[in-house]
Amino acid sequence: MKKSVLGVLILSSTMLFTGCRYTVTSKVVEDKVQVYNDTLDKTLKTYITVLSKAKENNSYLLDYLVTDVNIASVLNIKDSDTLSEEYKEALEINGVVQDYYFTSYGATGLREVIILNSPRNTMYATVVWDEDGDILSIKRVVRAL
Amino acid sequence: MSDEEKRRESKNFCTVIVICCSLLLAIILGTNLYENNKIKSSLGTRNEFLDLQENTKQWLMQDLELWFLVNSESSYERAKEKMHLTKDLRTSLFGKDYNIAKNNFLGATEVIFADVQYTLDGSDTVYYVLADIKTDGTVKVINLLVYIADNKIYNIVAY
Repeated sequence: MKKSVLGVLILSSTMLFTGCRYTVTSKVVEDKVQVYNDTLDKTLKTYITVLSKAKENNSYLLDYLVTDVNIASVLNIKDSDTLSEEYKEALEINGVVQDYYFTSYGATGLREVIILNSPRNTMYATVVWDEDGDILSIKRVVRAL
Repeated sequence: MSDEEKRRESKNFCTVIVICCSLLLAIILGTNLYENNKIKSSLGTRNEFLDLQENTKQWLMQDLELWFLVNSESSYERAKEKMHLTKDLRTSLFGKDYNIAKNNFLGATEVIFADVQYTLDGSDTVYYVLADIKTDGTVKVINLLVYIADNKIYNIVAY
């Protein structure tokens, strides 16, 4: 009898203090899943809104990317590099859009990567759109083909 | 108190202890079962919409880090073996054998990913990577477009 008591005691103590003691309650998991789902929903909604605005503005943005006629003031951009004379010459003005990609909405906003090809060079422009659909920044890099 | 009575009392006491412990065990097991079921059902409601892209993002960062850190034959072999690359891209990135001059590796000492985002529209998944590469005390900012299909990188464009 004493042996069975001892056995039950050892078993319960072991279960209590080791494997059978849960470390995360279902409430914590439920709350974390809820927060994750809400954040994801909000981010995806923002993504869709910003994406549609970015696509609306995309065509006139493309015109300014190459010509660079006072691009910052025309598009009300908060931070933009200026296209250097070297870049302008390299790009030969009449670049054509090879491709553009819109990324997911991240901490820095929605990024649009535009690849423009001219006969001898390629321009990679990274445009960051904020949550209101305004352009936060434009960075351009020109590479010889 | 006679010996018989003492024995019976001790037996009763032990029986009470066993019943209490068994009840305690039953409560613990029941609570655990209930909690585990609730945890499973909560996890089942998690939105999995971006899971594939996020998982890809994790291995992509590990792959790129291996690639940027190549500075010896062993790190070259490790990157060549572990990176998720198509056959053509593996050959064009790594060549046949280790040759630091020919293959033009960055030989970074540290890689910090500032941003990794991916496309959600369109058929191809393109990852945009912004990373700071530290080499011999200098920091180089690198922009990458990484094209992925069927869990393999088939093109990398750096600018």
